[in-house]
Amino acid sequence: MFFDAFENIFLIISSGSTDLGIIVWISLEVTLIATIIASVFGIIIGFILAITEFKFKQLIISILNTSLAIPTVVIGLFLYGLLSRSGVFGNFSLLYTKTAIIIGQTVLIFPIIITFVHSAIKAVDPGIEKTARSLGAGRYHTSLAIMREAKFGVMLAIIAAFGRGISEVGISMMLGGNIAGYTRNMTTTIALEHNKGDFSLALAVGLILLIITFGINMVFHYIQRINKR
Amino acid sequence: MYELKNILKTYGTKTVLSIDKLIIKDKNITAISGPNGSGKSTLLEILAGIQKPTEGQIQFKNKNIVKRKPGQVIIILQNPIMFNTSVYSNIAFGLKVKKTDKKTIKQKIEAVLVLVNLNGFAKQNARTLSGGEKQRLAIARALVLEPDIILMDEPTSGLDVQAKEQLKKTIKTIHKDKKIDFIIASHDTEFLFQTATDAFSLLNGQQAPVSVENLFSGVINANGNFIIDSGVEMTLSTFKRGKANILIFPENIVLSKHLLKSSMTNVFKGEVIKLIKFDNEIKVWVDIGIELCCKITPISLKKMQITIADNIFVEFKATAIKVY
Repeated sequence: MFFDAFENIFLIISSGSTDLGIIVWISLEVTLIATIIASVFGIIIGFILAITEFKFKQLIISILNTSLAIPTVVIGLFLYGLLSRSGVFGNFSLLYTKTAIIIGQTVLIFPIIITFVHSAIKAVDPGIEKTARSLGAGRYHTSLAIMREAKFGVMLAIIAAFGRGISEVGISMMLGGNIAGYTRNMTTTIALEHNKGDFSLALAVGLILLIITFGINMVFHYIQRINKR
Repeated sequence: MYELKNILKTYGTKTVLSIDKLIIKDKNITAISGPNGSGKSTLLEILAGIQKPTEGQIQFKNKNIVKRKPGQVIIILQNPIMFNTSVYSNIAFGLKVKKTDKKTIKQKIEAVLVLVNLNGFAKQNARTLSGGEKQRLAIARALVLEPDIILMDEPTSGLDVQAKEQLKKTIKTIHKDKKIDFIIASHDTEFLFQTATDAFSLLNGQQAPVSVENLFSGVINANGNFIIDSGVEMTLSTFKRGKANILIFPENIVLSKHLLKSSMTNVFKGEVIKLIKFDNEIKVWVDIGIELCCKITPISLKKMQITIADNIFVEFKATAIKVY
């Protein structure tokens, strides 16, 4: 079966199959957009959570930590209720579109970014803030200095979030509807091909998915190694 | 330079600093001595303006400390924290904050690296430097901002003798050539004696009777006599000439109501201006043109019946003076 899968990958790639290309592209496009949206807000919120003290902060952190374990189908189901015709946002006709998957994946990975960034900022030596402030830095430059120290933690948060987004299936299936050439991505293809009994194609797509996430992680480690020199 | 009034710093119910009044003069390398936990670091951070006192006022150059310009007062923390980047970028940080142009940044960094003897280290990651090199980089990082004063917290922590010697030289050179003042908090009294030109002490968060007493700066003339800035002249036992600091241990000073016939070459007549009684010793301050602190036992005090405003002779040997 594995040999068939490998053979299929090479066959599909060498044949220049546009179908697989579209599937991969939809996966990347949707997850990249979701990761960017979640990162922009998640990094800011994670940073603020780490450097400020306020009432109910610990409660918020506990809720965020708990939300890391919410199954994707639960998020899918919840958003389905909101986006379906009878839902609050039904008028926008977002269900079974890429936008719906983007919204779902953003909700899924948002707490990952916040909690990872929060931990990364918390791990920065408090002396960095004092040193930056002593060297005349205001709030903006001090924040940048702290963020720079936590850059690998922040990068890890983004990569983990991207990995979680691209590998989820529940949200894509429930909110995207697995429409070929439109919302069908790698994970929904795997699920579909498995249901059809075409294990070799399912595995081929699965391997491409693994290669993509592995490649991103390798790039991250390479950057980290260069910076340590 | 600094004027502190009614400073109180508390963490919860614990008071870590309580100073009624403190004036730190400019044109000095001021030492803050005291044991661990005496409040030195807290005071330094308050002086740097990076920590606020719970109560009280701090004037820096006759203005509230919060009105200081960016980079005017710089603190170098114990085991200075380096940004996880190159030596060059570490020094450039403060200049970038000040929006200095790239060309000026480059020129200033090249010059300061030579001054602190770190030329050739520009591209190295700052966190890979040794303890002594980090201290000098921290000074360089501060120096490029042309501050009025640099505050250093336990700068000799973890340094070997050679690194301490180099740090001492760097501080003195910068103070002399760049006219930058230093306040150094440390429990390394030897380093403080050798580096500072003024000193005060902290004990349990309060300004204590100065434990770095009788530390004076002046010049050793061609005859080998030490002339303190105020004009008082003393006989020394040294071959050193020129600018120097001296330390006279209070316990090596003899007080007498009448002039003694002895081998002691430094004999002064002065007026008793302050008496502080401790459990087993008395500190007596005598004005001989400078304020000299002497230590005697309670028995001697009773026997001699010394009181404030008494005229008294102060005598000590040339060898009782330590020259730095």
